[in-house]
Amino acid sequence: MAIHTEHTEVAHKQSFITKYIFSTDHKTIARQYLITGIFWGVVGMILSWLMRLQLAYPNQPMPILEKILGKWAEGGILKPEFYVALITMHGTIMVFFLLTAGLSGTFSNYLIPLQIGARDMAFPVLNMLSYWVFFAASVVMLASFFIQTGPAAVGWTFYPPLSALKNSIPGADLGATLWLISMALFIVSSLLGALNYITTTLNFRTKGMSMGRLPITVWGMFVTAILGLLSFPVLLAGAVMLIFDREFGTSFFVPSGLVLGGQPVPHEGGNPILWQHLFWFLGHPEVYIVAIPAFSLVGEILATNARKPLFAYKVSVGAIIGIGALSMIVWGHHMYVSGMNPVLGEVFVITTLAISFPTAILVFNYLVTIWRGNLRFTPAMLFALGFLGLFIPGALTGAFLATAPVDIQLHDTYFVVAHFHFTMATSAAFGMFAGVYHWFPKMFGRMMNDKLGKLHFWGSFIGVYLIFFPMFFQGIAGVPRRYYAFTEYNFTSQFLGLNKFITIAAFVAGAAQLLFLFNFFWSIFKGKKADKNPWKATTLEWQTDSPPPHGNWGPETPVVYRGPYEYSVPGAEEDYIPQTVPVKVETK
Amino acid sequence: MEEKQSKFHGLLFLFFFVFGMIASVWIVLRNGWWLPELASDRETIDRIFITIFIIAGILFVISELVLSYFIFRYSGQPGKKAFYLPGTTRKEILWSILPGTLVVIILEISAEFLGGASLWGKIHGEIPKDAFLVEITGEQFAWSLRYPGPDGKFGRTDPSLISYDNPLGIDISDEAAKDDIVFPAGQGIMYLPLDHPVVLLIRSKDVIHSPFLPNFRVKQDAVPGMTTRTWFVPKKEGEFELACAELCGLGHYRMKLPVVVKPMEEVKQWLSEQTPAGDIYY
Amino acid sequence: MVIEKKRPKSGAMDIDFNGTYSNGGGGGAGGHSSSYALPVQPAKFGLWLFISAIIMLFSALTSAYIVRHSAGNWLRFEMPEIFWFNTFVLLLSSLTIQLSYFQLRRDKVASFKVLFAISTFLGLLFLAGQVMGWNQLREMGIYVSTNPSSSFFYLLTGAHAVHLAGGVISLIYVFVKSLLGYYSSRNKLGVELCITYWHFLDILWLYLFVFIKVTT
Repeated sequence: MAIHTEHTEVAHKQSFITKYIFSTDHKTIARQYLITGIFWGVVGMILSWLMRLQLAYPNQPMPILEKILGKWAEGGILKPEFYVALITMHGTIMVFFLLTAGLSGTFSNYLIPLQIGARDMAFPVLNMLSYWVFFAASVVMLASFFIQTGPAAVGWTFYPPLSALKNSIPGADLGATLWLISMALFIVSSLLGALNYITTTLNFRTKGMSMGRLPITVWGMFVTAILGLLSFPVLLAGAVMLIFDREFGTSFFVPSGLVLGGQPVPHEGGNPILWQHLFWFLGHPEVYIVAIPAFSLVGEILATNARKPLFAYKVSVGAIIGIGALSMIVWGHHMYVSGMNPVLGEVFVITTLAISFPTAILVFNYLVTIWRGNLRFTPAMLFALGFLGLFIPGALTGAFLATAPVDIQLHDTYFVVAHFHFTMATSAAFGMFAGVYHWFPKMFGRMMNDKLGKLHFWGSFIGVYLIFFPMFFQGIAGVPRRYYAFTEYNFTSQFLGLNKFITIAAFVAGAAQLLFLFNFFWSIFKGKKADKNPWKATTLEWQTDSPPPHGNWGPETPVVYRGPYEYSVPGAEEDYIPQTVPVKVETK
Repeated sequence: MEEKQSKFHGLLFLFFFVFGMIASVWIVLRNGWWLPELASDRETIDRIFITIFIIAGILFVISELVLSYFIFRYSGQPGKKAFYLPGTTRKEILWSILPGTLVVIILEISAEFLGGASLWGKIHGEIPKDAFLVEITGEQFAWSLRYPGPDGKFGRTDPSLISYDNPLGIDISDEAAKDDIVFPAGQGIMYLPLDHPVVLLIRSKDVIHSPFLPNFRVKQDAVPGMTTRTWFVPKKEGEFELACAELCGLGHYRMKLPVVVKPMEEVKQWLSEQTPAGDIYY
Repeated sequence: MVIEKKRPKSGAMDIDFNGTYSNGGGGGAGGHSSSYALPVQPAKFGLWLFISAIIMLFSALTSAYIVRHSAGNWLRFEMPEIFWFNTFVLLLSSLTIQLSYFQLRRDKVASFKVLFAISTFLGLLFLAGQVMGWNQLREMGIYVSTNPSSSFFYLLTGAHAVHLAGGVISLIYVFVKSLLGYYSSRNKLGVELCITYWHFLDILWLYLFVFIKVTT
């Protein structure tokens, strides 16, 4: 008991700055990541609204836009260069800042120590640095919105020579430089995070917490961290080379003999496809860096709220590891029509289709998990179920794009846009929402409003389908992506009406997110007090206070005696047995 | 489980998917949203597309309906207990692996054995002799065209010769260049012969572009510093559109080129009426 | 409370099938008293993860090098001889730092400090030598943007130098702490981390040096 009081005293002695700003507590850092992530999510959503407005009403003056955006919308019409900046920043922000830092940063930080019974991360100071480097990356990225030439406008994939030549588009100037600096910082931050997540998972598990008893969330975060550790340095290499090309006149990616806007370009001897290899070597694992955490959060929430063990836990863990491993060797399917050696194309078809094997296993296991369950519809559960509902069409349409000849037709069309928004964008966002609703009571010690949460779910779920499902048919009809307007071609202008419909759906789905924002911030201060274990869950974090004290546990870290999902065990008094309950030996 | 549960959410899921599927089929059929009309010999692409569409469509309907049925059927009631199924026996593990294996086998078969691999090989393999050659060069934000003229050979080009008057940098000292027919960016129409193999030689002057002919199922990036190529046989007479499919700057959305397919004689006739490069660039 | 029939193992010690207890060796951060983990010091493990990330960075750069090298238009130039000297300096520093570690293990703290200081100095000398090498190249008319071969040369050696500068900073930090009497045979984690990283940088340099030598 003495140790316990000493511990709480330490917690009280923290000043405001060390407790809330430069904190090394993994729980505070997780909340910092979450709130920064939500901020970026709002920014990304507003950018998508602007894009949708332009697509629905091309060439139609909207004076309000000029008031808000100034010279980017002279006469109330968005400029094409600003539209390109919008798609670039929407992609970058959503993929990296919301769904990588916001998702992994929040839940790896929050759940790994709590679910393995540790008091904090392995390297708390590095962990704090990781957040603040991410914060610096955020500031640089945000600053690029307010410079004269505007933010980066070369697509989030940053293909050179468009990105390497500063006068190819206004957004390729200072905006692109800031983008590269911000991404370099972001990579450093995510490496610091990954170091921590991996080391903590392997080294700081409490007594009895073997790898075979880790909750699937920890497995997911762990595999994600390994993927990030191995693939982000490759993007860093590419980014450094691109910075050299832009600033020091080297020619890694810029070939000889270019003439841009009538002016000869002084570079010679580079190869633009090299960047695509470097970029997608990260870029494809990045898809799974986004998807695997969402998948693992959903698995945990499904099991808890179906009151059933996660079906075939070991197979599911194996599938997550398999997805992670395969994701490193499929990047070429982004490059079937890039001019890459066609023999490589054949190889990538096979590896890409192979990755559907572990993915199908995982989805099937999740479906069996809810089969004959006793489902409890919390908002978190609805979002987890919605995740499955969104992931399924996304995964199935991947089969079209994996097949090289079909990809000739569908590559860079709205089919791709719809596909990745289903598989890794909205579904990962749903996984994140599920996680926020589920762990909010633990994070902030209060409950979120249930009714608003459910309304938020249905607004988002129906909204997402109405936005992205029609895009499959736009893509099948051949509409290329990243088009400022559909007015120039006969085969695209047939969709002007549908575009209006999608835009309205986007605003409705966006309005549903406002419910979430209100619910989230209101509940932090005014929500109903949460008790220790509001969902009657088995894993370790629910066995300590809500929110957990500094150091997470009392004088002793918990001891683990059983697997993570002992729900509805026959013969047990209650329908859940926490991991900390000792196993009794049957004596006759 | 003290909370009152209802079938409400399960019903909503079921209703959403059943209604959504019926409505989508109706809307798509009514508007005729489908692949653009096929005008080349690449019908294999359509065949694989339709096969995967049917398989994926069936899997989609089954899995979404199963999902929403489960949500409806197993919605919780107080006092009810879930069925304990950890999935640790060998039989259960086999069950969890089986569907994934099936999915992969079906997909591999439809991708590889319906002619996909052979089409891929054909597109990237040897080009037929006496094919009709067109060189298409992308720049911000229009396409230049070049036909080889009667000798069937493209002349040498040199980027250092590029000027306002000589947009492709044709080197007139090369014999083969004299009869080349050049259409500077934004001033040409791509004439293609009907039922005759067409080879597109694709180049770019500045950034990456990607000529995309939706009706011909053709797309190939134009990579600066190299010449990529693809070939196909136009099978329908008429007017079509060529679009840019790779983000190339602020005018990406309007980088359009009209394409006209006519019988070989008419195309040849039209070509013979054009001024060769030798008469324009001195 | 609960009766589990399928796992007839003994009560509280029914822990695991694929691991061992550790008594939380080495402590680490945050006052973890009892952990159940790999028999590796967390900081050392973290360092190895960091090293694997650096390996990925340099394998990306050198694969790009190979791809570009095979495409032709590759200017061949002779590396200034000072790079041979630098290589020798770095190898020597690896040797002295390892010797310093042996001294520390035997608690000969004074000779440890001397050898460690020499290693730090050799590290600085290597960096100075690299800068001189680059200057000589520039005098030969070979700039960053002259040809992809020179771009890659500056990029690879520069990236290595940045990592090595980080290493020198950590050596200086540890050296200052050793002057304050921090290290002994029982407390040598910081020194061990430095030495691992330093040897890695040495091997990385040898790899880059041979790689560049073979291809130019």
